[in-house]
Amino acid sequence: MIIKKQRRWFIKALTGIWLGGLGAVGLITAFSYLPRPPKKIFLKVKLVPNKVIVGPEYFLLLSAHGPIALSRTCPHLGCTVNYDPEENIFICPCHQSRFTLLGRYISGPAHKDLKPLKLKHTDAGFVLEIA
Amino acid sequence: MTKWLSWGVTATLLIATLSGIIISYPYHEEHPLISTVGIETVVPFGDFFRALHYFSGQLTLLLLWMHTVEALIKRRAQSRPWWSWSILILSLPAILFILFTGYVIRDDETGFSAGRIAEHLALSIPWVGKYMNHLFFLVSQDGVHRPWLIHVYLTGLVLGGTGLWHFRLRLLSLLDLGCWATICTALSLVWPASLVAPQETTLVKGPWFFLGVQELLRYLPPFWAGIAYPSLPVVCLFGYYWRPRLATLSLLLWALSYGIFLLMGACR
Ligand code: HEM
Ligand code: FES
Repeated sequence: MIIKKQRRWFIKALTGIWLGGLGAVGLITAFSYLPRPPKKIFLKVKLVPNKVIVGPEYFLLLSAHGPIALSRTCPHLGCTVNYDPEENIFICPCHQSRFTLLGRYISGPAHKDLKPLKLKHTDAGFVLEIA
Repeated sequence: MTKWLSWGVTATLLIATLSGIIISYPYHEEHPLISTVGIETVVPFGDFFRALHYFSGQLTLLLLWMHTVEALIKRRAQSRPWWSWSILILSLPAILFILFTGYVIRDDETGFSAGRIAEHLALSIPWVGKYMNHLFFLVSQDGVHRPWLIHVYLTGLVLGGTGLWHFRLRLLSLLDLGCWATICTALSLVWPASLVAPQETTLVKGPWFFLGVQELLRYLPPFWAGIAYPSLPVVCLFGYYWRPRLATLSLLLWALSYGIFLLMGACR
């Protein structure tokens, strides 16, 4: 009787461990994703002072220190930051964080600067790396 | 319990599911915005079924909310087993989540921003945030793929959980379904479903029920404004089973404060 009870308990525990393991491994598979390769964009543009080029994921402009590229992803919660030509600053439409044209944080909940993007200047144009 | 309310929830949920299945054929998750615009402009009756889906979804949330409030007022909680109460409570955030992912998967200005914010809010949850994000959003890596899966899977779960409960009592009558289908059709014929084109603006508003959270995110850290504060009413509703007075008071205070934040967000 006791042996039978023990055996049943043992089989139950084994089934539990087996199913739990299956579920845990399944979760690992579901959590995974196939990472996108980093994107490189070639841009053939002429930069002039005080003009911001607004790409889908980047801002490109000529600063006093030369050409710079900034990510449009807001450091607060990831919305796409827009350029406001009236105030000549960058504003995030979600919670109105503001940034200077150099990407420096001015106000709002972001409390961080816009991320600079890797930019290479070649004879043919600009190569921009979007992380 | 007012019968029309609980049957209204079941009927509108069914209409949302059926219209969702119809628009999911021309919808493509790899080109979410383009295909949604296509449904709205090119697909025959696409704009109608999109609106039907939109309004039946909104009505499901509204009726379920009224259903819950009524259950509170009539003190239905204590006369039910705790698991039945829990299913009613859990269906509320579940429907809210289905509605929210609906906005995300149409990928317009509202949906895109909502998806990005949701991803960062999930990441702000201590310890499990990364896994929650991988399960529900991950829009920055995987587009709308995961919110799309959740939109459909969660519908199945809610239909199984609440639908079975209701269908067990009595089959949804054709008359109830017909009445609600007429209301949804009328709404869809008068108003289009919303769609906001991507644009260079300084203000994007989220889904209407999210405006209060969006407002709070301007002042508080993401976890407190976006996770802790919106979870409070769910905790209170669960707690209602054991401490009805305290829970009711907390719920009222929460609803009042959320109403104010929602108005502030809406008036921007
Ligand atoms: C199997 C079930 C479902 C399928 C296949 C489905 C499919 C879809 C698709 C393809 C979209 C994006 C296209 C568009 O925006 O027009 C969408 C959006 C949406 N869905 Fe669903 N859905 C389902 C269930 C539900 C349920 C149960 C609700 C609500 C209770 C809901 C609420 C919404 C909302 C609010 C939107 C955004 C609508 C808009 O603004 O266009 N869906 N759904
Ligand atoms: S996401 Fe940009 S300010 Fe919140």
